[in-house]
Amino acid sequence: MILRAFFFSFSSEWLKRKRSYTLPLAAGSAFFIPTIIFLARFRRIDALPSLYQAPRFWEGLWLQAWESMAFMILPMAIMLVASLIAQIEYRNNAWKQLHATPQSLATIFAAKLAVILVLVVQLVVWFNLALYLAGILPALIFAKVDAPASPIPFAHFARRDLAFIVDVLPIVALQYLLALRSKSFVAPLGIGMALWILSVGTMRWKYNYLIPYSYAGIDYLMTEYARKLVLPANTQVMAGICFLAITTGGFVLYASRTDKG
Amino acid sequence: MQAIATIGLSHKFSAEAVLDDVNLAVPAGSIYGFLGPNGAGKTTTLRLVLGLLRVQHGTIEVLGRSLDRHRLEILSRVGSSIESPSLYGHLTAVENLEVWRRVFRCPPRRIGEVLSHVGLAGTGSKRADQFSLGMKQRLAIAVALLHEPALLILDEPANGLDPHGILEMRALLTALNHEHGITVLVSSHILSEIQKLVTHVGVIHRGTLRFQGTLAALMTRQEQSAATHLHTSENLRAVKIAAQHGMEGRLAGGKVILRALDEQESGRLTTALATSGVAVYEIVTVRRDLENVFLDLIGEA
Repeated sequence: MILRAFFFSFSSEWLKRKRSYTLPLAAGSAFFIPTIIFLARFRRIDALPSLYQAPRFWEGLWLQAWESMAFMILPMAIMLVASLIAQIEYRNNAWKQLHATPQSLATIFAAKLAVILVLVVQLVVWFNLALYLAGILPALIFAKVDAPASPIPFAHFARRDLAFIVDVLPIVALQYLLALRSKSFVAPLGIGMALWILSVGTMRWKYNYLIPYSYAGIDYLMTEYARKLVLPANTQVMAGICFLAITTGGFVLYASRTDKG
Repeated sequence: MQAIATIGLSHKFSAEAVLDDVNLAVPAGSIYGFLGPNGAGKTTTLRLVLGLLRVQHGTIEVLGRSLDRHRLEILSRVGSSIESPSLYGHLTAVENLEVWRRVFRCPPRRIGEVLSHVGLAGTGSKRADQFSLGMKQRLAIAVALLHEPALLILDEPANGLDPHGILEMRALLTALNHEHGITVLVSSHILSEIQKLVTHVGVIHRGTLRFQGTLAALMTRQEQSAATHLHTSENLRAVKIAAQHGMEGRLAGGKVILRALDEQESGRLTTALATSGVAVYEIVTVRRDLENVFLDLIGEA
């Protein structure tokens, strides 16, 4: 019964983002870094044949692209997506209509959160697709460049993608909380940016893991660069706990509002 | 049975009391006009009835159920549009309705039906933010009707409608009430806008309910507020003579004010006055319209 209500609610919420900026935002975020990598190939065409025959070509490409993604693009995209989803109600003065429907507050809250999460997953999937295109297109364009010799490590990439998605869950939860609380589009972005800058600026601090925006960056440094950091638990566990705590707090704040539209 | 019954409903925003002991009684099957000037407390009352505001004091029953305990069940049987239309501007009319259809889980055919009802069937790919205010109001009503509610709550639905649109809306709401038995509550700050539509009226001002009853009862009050004004050569004597004929009067503004007299009574009185040597300069019966009665009720006549 609860799942059924959630499904219909999610389906309704998913339709609302049609023709909104969420789609171009997710697509832009997914394709931005792979496009830059692809364009950069044109500057060093001579080096491409040997690069494409490297035994770990795909791992290298993936590592290069995920650096900007983990530290910057994904957190930024989440900030924007969360704000956009909440703004659909604020801008259209529709909270009151939504809260006058026979849906529990938990269902509404969960359905909107699920839309953001699905968009994040969609963004990461598109990013992988874009990365594949960035890798394969030069081989199709330049005659002297052969297709990459090494196979694509799908399972490894899928595991790492999933890990990064879990790493950014606290950002999703906190940005969602802020977006629900604020009628302004800019305020949650401002707070999110400040926290993100703080997390990047304190990356060398031993307690950096206390900032919920830092887990993807820490994970990237530890996994891909084998950086030795002392953490109470692995980043996914910390991010998961953080996500649950912030989401619970966010729901309590959302449900306890005396004025619902 | 009451479709809506509030008992002792009071509400404050910060320290400011916006509702004070409001006992709303909307009979099932009625078209209830909820009247009051802007800021009187209409929208606050309706938001409380829909659970959009937390009740601070008093109780609310909707469709015979306690709102506190059966909110979701009640909301599944209530259609509403509060304040300005809540529409997703980036979506078409059909898409807007589809958003709510999925929530209310009603059959897809309802979208076409309600669009036809409100005259928006041909809007195609036009987005809601390109609609006129009148079209937006009609789409908001379509949203409210989508799940075939037993109770329709519309806050100022005539806002932005031209006279033709108001006529159409009136016809639509009357048809919904007569043909489908839907109880309709419409709020407005203009009596004339809903006078031809409603069966019952509630007048609210400064957070208190000043009148509640049938439209007929309000019209009786209108009749009672009518008066005959008499201007004579000797007003004091005229009051005494009128009293001798069972017409109690008083002096005000240099005139004799009597209850509204019919033609026979007017004839009898003028004859009696003339016989007594009192010259009648003017006799006129002033009938106040409902708007003035409304203004009387809110103390602004």
